[in-house]
Amino acid sequence: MTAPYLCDAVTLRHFGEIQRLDILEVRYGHLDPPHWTQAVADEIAQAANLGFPGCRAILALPWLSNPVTPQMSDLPGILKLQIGLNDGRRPPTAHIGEAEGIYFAQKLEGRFVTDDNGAYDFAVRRLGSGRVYDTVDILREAVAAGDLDAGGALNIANAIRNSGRSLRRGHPDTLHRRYFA
Amino acid sequence: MLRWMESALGARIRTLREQAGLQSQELAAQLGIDPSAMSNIERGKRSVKTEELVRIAEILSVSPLSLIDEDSLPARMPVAPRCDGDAVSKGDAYSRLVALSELHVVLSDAGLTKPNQLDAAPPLRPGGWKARAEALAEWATNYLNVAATADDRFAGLADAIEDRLGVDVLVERYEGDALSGAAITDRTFPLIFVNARHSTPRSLFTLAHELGHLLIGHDGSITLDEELVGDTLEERQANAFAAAFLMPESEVDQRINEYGRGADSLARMVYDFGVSFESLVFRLHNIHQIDAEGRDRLREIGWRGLLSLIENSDLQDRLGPEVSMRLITRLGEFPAHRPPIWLATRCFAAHRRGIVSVRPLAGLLHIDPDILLDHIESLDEGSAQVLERAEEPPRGEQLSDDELFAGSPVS
Repeated sequence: MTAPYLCDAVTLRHFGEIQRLDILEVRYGHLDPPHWTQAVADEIAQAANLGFPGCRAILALPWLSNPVTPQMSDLPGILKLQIGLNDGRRPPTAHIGEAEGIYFAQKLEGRFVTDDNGAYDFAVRRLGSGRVYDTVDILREAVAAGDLDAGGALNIANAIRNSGRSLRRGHPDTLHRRYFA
Repeated sequence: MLRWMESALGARIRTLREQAGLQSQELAAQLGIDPSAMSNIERGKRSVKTEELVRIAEILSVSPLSLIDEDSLPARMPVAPRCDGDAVSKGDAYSRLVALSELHVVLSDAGLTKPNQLDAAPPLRPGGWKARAEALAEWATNYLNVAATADDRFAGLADAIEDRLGVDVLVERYEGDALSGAAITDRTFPLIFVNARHSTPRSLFTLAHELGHLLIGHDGSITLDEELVGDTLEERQANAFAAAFLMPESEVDQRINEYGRGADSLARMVYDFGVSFESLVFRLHNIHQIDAEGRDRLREIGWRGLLSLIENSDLQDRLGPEVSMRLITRLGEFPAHRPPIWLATRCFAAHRRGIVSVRPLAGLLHIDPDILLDHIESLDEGSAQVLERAEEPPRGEQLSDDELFAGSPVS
């Protein structure tokens, strides 16, 4: 059994927005599920109902398979992670998808994929740096595996940026082709 | 086992829903699910998604943790009351305290606790509640040993509460929120909250009042104070403590002996104690310096009447320009924001260990999370470089004792 890659909604929507979900499929489609969690799937379904581009295509991906659904015994751990992902300003209602993703990545000894800056840093400290990925990490991995060339990876990063979405701040050199090589 | 857990959760949701005065159908409608699904959740026959659980807690104005653990600190916080058929949610200040209690649970579960010295407070001695509060105030005066001028008394007292008692003090401004102050009185997470929307003299009394709740050992979850009206024994005890702590009877007597029974001593006491005119008037009545009629007459005059007297009579000359000016300006001063320092320290350690993200710490310090993250990462890199250098062997340098000991151990 392969270690699952659990994707956050932000990253799925990055690739969905520019219609390049094929890159994720090549990277992760052959691995054992789960690839996402119930809260991430619900978040994307809500976004699809609001007409956000790329979301319906995500929901239609066969390789994403069924999301992992928390059982009652999982809820305390997920809620505590969610508290840790929020700002303590009010009882938390945000970051449920990230909390579930980190929880199941830890439980299933898998990896977590997110472009949320705070969640990425948190997950690295919790899971270790080799188990946390963001969009640029995926693109660089795709170049290393020969799925893309560096110019193509840069074009995808620029397309995500030009669609009004944000790449994680942890990669200051993403404007340069050589960063992806 | 799991079915039992779902039944327990369902029963807990039903109990809290009924306490909040909501019908099952109303909760289902607000949640956006079918009424039969809600009924099945409450009977433990349908599992609950994480988002649904969080939304149910939000609608019921409770912490999600209180739904899964009824013994947790957030679960012991009061449920929102209802008024005219609508649930009245508590304000942002109350929500903040619930959120901080949740954070405390997460940190405690990871072993990040903070001992406090509240057990140093003596048990209340036998006698009337007023005498007991006075005795406790005398102990607190000696134990806390607040060395601050009247202008710095709020910050000085808050520092002493943190340093000497190990109790967190949170000062934030919540405009339009009825809550003036609150104390989380749970012994594992004592915290005093003061709403900075009130002037510093009034806030000083609130701070001392909440300290009274903690030292007396009230309740064990949270006390919420709006007008500090003393409508329960616990509130009267906390008021008596605060008054005795801030305006000791011996010091009141001393000023009355020195300045006489009139405007001079009133102004002096308001200035020296750093309290509001209203607090002073109540204190004078409670220690029998004035009768009820005198109290009510002085309340009618109020602080503004005293200031008017200072501006329009020779009282200003007798007080001197500095005292007169400070009395006038204090009315428009508010306490500075301050984070709960012990909780922030625990959060910092928790972030490094991957227990929480950077966001709770950023929220406590009122800093943008990304900026704080950059700062922490630069600290991490700096520390790593220093440690790497420390592992290098000495380079055989020959230094005299004077040179070796010339460095400053404190920088």
